[in-house]
Amino acid sequence: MVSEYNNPGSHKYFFIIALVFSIIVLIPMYVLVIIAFAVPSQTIAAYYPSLIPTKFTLSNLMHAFSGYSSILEAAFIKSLITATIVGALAAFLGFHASYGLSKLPVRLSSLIISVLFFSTMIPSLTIAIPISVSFLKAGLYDSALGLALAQELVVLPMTIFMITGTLQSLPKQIELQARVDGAGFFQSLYSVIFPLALPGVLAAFLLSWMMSWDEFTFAIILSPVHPTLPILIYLDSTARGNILYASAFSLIVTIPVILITMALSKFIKGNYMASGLTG
Amino acid sequence: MTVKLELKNVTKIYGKHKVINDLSLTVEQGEFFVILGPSGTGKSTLLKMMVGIEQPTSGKIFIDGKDVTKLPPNKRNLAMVFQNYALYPNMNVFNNIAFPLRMHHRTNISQRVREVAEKLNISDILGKRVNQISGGQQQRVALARAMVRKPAMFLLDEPLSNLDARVRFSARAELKRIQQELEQTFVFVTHDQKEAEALGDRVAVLNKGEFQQIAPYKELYENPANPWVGDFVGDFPMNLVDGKGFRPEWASVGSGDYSMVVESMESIGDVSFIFGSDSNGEHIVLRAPEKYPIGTTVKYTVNRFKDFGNQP
Amino acid sequence: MKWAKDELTAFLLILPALLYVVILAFIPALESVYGSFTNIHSNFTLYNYSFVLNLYGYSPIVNTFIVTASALGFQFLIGFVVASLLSKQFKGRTVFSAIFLLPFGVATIVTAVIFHDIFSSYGGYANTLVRAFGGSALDWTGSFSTSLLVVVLADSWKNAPIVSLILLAGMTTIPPDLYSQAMVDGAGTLRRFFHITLPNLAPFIAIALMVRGISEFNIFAIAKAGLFPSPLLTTMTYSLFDIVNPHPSYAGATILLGFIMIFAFFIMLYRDRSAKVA
Repeated sequence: MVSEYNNPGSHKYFFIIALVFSIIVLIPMYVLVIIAFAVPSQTIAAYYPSLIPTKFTLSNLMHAFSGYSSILEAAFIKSLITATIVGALAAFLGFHASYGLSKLPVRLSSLIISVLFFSTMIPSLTIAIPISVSFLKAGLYDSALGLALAQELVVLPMTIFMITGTLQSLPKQIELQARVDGAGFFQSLYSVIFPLALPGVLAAFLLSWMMSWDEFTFAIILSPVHPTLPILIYLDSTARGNILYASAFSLIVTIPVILITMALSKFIKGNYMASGLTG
Repeated sequence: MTVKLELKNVTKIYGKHKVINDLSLTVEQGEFFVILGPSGTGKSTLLKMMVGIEQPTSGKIFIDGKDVTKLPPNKRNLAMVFQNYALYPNMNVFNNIAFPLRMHHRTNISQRVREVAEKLNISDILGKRVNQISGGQQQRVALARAMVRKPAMFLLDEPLSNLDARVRFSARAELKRIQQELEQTFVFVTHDQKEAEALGDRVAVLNKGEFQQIAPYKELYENPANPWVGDFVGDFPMNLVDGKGFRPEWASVGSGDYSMVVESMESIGDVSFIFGSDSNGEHIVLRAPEKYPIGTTVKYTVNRFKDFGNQP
Repeated sequence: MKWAKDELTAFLLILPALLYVVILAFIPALESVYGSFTNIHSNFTLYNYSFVLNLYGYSPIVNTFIVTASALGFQFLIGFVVASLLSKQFKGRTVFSAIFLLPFGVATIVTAVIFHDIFSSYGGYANTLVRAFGGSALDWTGSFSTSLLVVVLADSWKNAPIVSLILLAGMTTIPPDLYSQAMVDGAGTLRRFFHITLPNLAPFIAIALMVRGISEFNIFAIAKAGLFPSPLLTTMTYSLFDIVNPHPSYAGATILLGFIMIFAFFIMLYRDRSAKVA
């Protein structure tokens, strides 16, 4: 029983409402799949396309990949490298910062949390434009590393809130016990705390990875020449008007992210988003 | 006798709240020393300062004559058993016990772990994960981990309170046996008088951040330093009449100068205790050979008093 | 104080993250603000602002407010319904909550592509539906009102899950006894919503408003991908962006930052006020 009282008879209605909502949620994804796999004459080339196509083909995907393989491959690799740097950096910085926060007096740690939270209010555009100028000077413009350093800003505060939540859930005595057993500050951090916090750190890594994989604003400003996958999709759908390719690529981008979302559903909680303001 | 642990005028203040007030204490080598007090009296804070998790606001702490007041826990060479045992959940039993040895870069780790496991009868579970073993076994593992390094002394924070009643009884006896075998100093914190009575060579009664009395349990019972100790120690609070205290078994029921009205009764085995109030409204507990109906007036004689003088 | 040495170590552990945010977020933001008031020779000027206003007028600001308000309103409506639904016990609840979360993982640009496919004037599924009801095909992104509808639908499809997650987290903190008591006292469903659910949810509503509101002001990829052709503060700033002379785009970025700060300030005010009431 989570919230309001509900009488047993109403379960049936909840189920029906949930079912209707699920269908509405799933239709757009279904549209993406049929555009990728049905013959174009029944989807984007039909004036009034049907939601239930009858002829399927793999040639949409094959064309998209073969006609474009080198650009797609480059974008894929760029996205992969960028997202992995973002995730690794988030896990590393986030774990240490979260642990540090847990050791500071509340007054200081809540001040630092407010600073971190405040940084999330600054629009990506407001940051991206000046750093594009600095990155150009520093040779980071259009590089995976430069883009990753910028995207890190989007994920770092949330990573810290998430790992802080994980650390708070650990039994406090364990750490004290480690210190009494002779572990120094860093020994207890790496040989006792880290293994216990690993699920949360891993979740933060994956979530950061995923946000970078999807990120658009920094990517379009800081890496326009050798784009990431989202920018490639944008260029295809808008600039080149190539909807079929854009849909095919969209499917490629979406599959890993959907898998991660499913794996992380336990960790994607309102509480973590909330911790910045309430905690 | 050599002094193992010494606290000199230790005070701990959180904000405006004085949790520990000017405590001094010496614990001898090889002593089983119990700190007894109701919850929220500063027992845990005191223990945390001994182990080095907290620092006193003022005062000093010595171990083996060395000032450790400012040392972190890993530099104090102490072992500690927490109430919830604080076993490392990501390690198996063997690695839990081996952890302190590894942290101190000892050699012959495997041999030492097996020795201690043998002594505590947990050799057969060394390969198990700590969440696969029973509460009693967890308690032994925690004790083994504490013993394995041969520390200067042991601090134990209510290590028996999470066990169910039967296991607790045998664990208590075993703990005492181990302490005597090791000839090591144990400081044991508890709110349970039975444990204090069974285990402690001496018992320090703590209330409101101050030691009310430090003495063997028998003396606390027979000769409490003040009415509060008399009230707190024992199965029943000490009876108070005219500012003087007496235990139920120090009075004989039947005739005498004192009287009370019976309000309830309780029988434990052959013995009956009768509860009532005297004419001043003081609650009295007496030990009686026979049963008395509720409402009757009972006369009794007090054979022995503990005089508190003018103490409150 | 505990051992001061460990506290220093703790602070050193936080320092990299803190410096990171200062160097890559706060300093660039200040650079934007400073740059918006200077020209390429670093002399003070208001020219960037007058240039932007002459070029675009006030419509990017007005449009940004309209889109933000509409999207927030719609997402909160959906968020409340979904959160209330998920706070009940019924068969398949965990499966449904996993399905509702799916769009959260779909990239914004992919969302834009999908909704572009659905609301395309030629070969769009929305028009198939319109025709099924006897209407004639619409040019969805051709008019302000229909493109507003499309952008709100697309944005809410992706982001309503966040709102419902935050509201659901809030609903689980309300003790069920409160509802039972109110029912015994004779309060109906609506009264219970306004007198128990809403006041108790206030901090969580503030968080959701903050998280989503800031993002709505920043709505960019969906609009840029062609779903909302009218200018917004973001698309305007991006159009102004020129790496050789970024100063006019600094003005756009500063206006955007300014409105978000004002918005955040009012949300904080609401949060503090509701916290005092509760």
